[in-house]
Amino acid sequence: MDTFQFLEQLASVVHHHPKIDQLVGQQSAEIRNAFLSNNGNAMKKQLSTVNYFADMVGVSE
Amino acid sequence: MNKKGSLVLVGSGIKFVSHLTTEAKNYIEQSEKVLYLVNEPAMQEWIQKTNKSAESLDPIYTSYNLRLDSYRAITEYILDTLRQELHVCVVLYGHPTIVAIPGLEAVKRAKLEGFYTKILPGISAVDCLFADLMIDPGSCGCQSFEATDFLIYQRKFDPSSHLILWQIGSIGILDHRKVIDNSKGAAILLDYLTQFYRLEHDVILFEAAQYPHLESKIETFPLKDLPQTQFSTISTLYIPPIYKANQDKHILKQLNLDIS
Repeated sequence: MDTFQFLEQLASVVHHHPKIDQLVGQQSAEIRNAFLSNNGNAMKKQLSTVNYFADMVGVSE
Repeated sequence: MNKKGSLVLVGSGIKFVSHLTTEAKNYIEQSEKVLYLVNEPAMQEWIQKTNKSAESLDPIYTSYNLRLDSYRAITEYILDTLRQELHVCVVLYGHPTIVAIPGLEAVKRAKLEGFYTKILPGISAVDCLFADLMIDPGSCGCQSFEATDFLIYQRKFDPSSHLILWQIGSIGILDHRKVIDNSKGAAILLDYLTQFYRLEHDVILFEAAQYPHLESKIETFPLKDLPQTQFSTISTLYIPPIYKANQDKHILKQLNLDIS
């Protein structure tokens, strides 16, 4: 499962769903650590700089 | 509204996919051309996967030094695309008309040119703020300003109401720089706010969560620490009311109300 699918599936379950732990456990250490430490900025940075997605182009804020 | 083609402006919300409304999703899926400017890479990927016509406005956004020039160019590009008589959907993050000039301007002009136009609301940072900080804007009123605008025009407001300042992390910054030293702008803001609030009055830095099941960033600190606080480009400042407003007895009497 790639990171994009992970985020899509994460968005499809509620916070107390047991699947969350399983989904998070399958992710790379960087994404997993960012998620578990509630660090959205780190997660975004990872997603912006590492080629997780096939069609990546830049994003601006 | 007799021209072919249409322009629908939608907001993607703040949190990846979770905040997309059904109607926004439908327009992203079914439009002939999708143009988008979102600030999060997964959402960008989702839009590209959902509609093969999708095109990022990011290259235009970053090709001008001043953001205002970028916005003007984006507006023109949206209108040029629309004039090809396509059903165009423009996706902006958050709510598409809140602190977002180019989409709104394009819709206004497209309407004048005779095209069908529609704006679909999205979940904005302030909606997340109301939920996460448990605030009812109807409880004592709520005023919100873009932070630079707030200072330049010395906006008048009521300190007995909730106060929200957008784009607190880029006061006086009109370009695209990535690393922003906001301390000077924050010091000027502090100087203005101390006319209304005590230095010890607690304020809140808020950043809405952009990913499912992450918590929003909520940092409470005294107003006096404003210049030393690290803000990002998605930070919003919330200032709680500092006192309770007095009821006007004359008005109460006129309305036959007894709610003391």
